[in-house]
Amino acid sequence: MEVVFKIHRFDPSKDVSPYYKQYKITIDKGTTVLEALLYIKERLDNSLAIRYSCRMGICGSCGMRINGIPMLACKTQVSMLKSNIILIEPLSNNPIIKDLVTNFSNLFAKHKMIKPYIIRKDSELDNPTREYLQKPNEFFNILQFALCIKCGLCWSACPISSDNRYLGPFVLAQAYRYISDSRDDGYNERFDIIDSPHGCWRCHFAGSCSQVCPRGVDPALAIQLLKKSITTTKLGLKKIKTAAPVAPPLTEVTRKLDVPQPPPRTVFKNQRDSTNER
Amino acid sequence: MSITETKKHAVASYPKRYNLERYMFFIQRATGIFLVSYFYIHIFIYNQRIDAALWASIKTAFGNPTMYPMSFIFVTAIMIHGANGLRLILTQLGFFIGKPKLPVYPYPPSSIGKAERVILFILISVAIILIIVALGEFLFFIR
Repeated sequence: MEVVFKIHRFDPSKDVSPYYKQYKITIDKGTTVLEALLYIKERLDNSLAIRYSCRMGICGSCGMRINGIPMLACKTQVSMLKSNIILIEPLSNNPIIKDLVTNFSNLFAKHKMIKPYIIRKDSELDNPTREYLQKPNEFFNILQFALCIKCGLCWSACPISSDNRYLGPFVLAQAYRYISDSRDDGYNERFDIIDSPHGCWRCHFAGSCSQVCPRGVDPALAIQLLKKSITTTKLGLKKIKTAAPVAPPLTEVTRKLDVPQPPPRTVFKNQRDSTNER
Repeated sequence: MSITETKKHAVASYPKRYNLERYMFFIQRATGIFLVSYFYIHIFIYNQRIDAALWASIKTAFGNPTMYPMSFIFVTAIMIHGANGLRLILTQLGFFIGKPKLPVYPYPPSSIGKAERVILFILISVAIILIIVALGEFLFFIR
């Protein structure tokens, strides 16, 4: 199958304005867009700049707009697009470094602002002794948002993100992920950043972020839940959360009567041990 | 294999696959701008010192059948903006958007899932029915 790739090209050091360059190549049934781009880079035009790493939708480096929709190039098969002309553009709302590579530093700075880590009032994090207790339902409450790979597709799809001061879908989703974590105690520290005109209230629920998310994170859901949380807090209806306690020390462990003894060791720490054992 | 360069990209035959809510967002914006502009013009006119002659001219202007489509557009904008606004209030308070869950491929998002679509269609249908009623009224006046 012959496909024309119409690729956005722009080198700020040389070009005055962006332009599109067409490459006609033959692809197989399962060829992904990333594979096609690498083919173009290796065989046709080595000046093409692409960012990629894992090639399997884990690292989130190869995000780009494919036929106008933000997607991961490594997860998108050319045959799925059902078009003989594939338009490849960099993610929108980010400054372009070169061709399809955009600058994420603004996004990562915003991510840092919402303190994406567990905050505790006690000193357990500084001097850890044991693990925190977390129930399975509490874990599943945050798991969906913890799967975010920070690929920036949601930021590119969001119609509000042209406002550079807006925190953005994935940053707010991460804020919700830490706020709703049963082990976290930092709701008040993050509250002012999220409850600002450029925080979660800037979202108007277009829902595109959730539609394009390659990991099913559903940032729109997280943002609406943040709004709900802030509203209930302001109305004084929110239950005051106490951070999960540290697991108590293990008491004397006794083997159940019906559990058999383990077989003898077959792997030893070193030869000396094994010789002694034998 | 061939390489060609163009300054502008032609419109490719690729599908526009953004979700319905995104189009509703743009409609909400457009109707919002229209209604706010209308509101300011309305306040400006009614803030003038109205004497009998001016009042008569306003009555004549608004009594003119050519103004009816304007009024109809105004009612339509209010209905659509109101219906979609109500959906947004409900969803932003956490209704009809589902709960966090373990994502399973192909990752259908629950925030723009079935419940949210149903409430969107119900509210927009109510708005459309009211618009049709309003259209009937305007047609009656024109006659």
